[in-house]
Amino acid sequence: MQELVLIQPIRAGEEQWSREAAQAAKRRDFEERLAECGPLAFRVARGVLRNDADAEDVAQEALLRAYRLFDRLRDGRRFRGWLVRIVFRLALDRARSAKRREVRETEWAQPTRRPAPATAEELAASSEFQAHFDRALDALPEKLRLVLLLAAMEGHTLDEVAAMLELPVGTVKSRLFAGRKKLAEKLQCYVTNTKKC
Amino acid sequence: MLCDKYKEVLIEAAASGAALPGPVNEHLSLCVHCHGLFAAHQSLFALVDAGLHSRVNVTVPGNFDDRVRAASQIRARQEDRNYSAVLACGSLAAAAAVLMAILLTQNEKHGAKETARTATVESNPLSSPHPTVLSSEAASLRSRSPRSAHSHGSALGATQGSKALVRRQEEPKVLVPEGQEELLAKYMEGIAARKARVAFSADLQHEPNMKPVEFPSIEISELVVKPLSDLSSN
Repeated sequence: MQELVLIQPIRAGEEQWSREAAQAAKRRDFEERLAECGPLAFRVARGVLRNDADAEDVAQEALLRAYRLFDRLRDGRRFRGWLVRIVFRLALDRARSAKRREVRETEWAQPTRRPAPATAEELAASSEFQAHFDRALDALPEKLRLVLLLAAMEGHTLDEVAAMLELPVGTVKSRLFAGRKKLAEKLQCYVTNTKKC
Repeated sequence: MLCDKYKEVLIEAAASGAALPGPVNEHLSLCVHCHGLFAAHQSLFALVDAGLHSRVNVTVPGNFDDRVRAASQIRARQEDRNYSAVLACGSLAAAAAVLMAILLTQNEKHGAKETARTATVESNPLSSPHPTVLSSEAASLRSRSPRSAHSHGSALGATQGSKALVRRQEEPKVLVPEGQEELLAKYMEGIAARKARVAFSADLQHEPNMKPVEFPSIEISELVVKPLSDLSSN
């Protein structure tokens, strides 16, 4: 009994100490990864949501989720791809709920008409083209969309995108081409003037 | 409309920005329509790339990392608090279980003691519970004392003796300083004697100091048996 009384607090102290040490190590690791992958998470979310505030919320939530589940990730090198998938999934969920809300709100709103832009630069910058582009991008299949967004980010080569998504480079290339082609088909009216958009 | 033969090649070339093969280039220089549409597709893909680029390559808010760090710290603190709460609840539940177990055990013991005591009192109302003296010397003293032996059921019948044994096993044990065992034994005997006297007097409704009742000698004549006819004649 006396032995128990003496040993128990020491064990509890050791457990507490090791738990705190593990938490501190996890926190250090997370902060390193946050500095490395925070912008990536934000940009992926921004690419889906087109809104800085929502993108920040989603990226933050994804990073916190990744931090909480970090112990489950066996291979630390897969962190980027893992995080990208979490962010993309959360952003899609947020976009869907926002879309439902938007549909409800636009039922009561009047559409605004603006004059058509004259030049290509004006066209690219015009809100009408942006809105059409956004709709076209949102209508793409998810696997094409994610490849398009990641490949469009500065500093990402196709090899890096392939490594991040754990896909062969050929698959990434074909998805990229297919995605761009579908977008071009949907936006053709702005260039050829053959069909109405 | 693009000429069907070169359609796919021209679109791929417009999409990738790669140089056109010789025959396609020749056709493009000859066909004005295809040339114009190839240029349109080039600008279309450029538009698509520009749209994608502008959509993705945005500047990250300056304090984004700090906010995430702060949020993660808050979350970690909440998790710690939850962990502590779970620990506290667990320890409280364990403590309550231990307390319940102790109370139940004590209740059971108390109940058994009460049952044994009631049985003893019912069998021997004059006897009083004695604390057991743990010293062997005191035990020998008690066995030597005739009154002590009487009070502990040696004078009782076999059944009462066994009940007294049960009672004695549950008697409280008293640690006595060395050399005072005899004093304690005498003290307990005194208490027992006094209690016995009080109980006896209460039973008789008399003063405890009674003098023995003296009766004058009685003479009893012999019994004479007579027939009924003799009685009727008298």
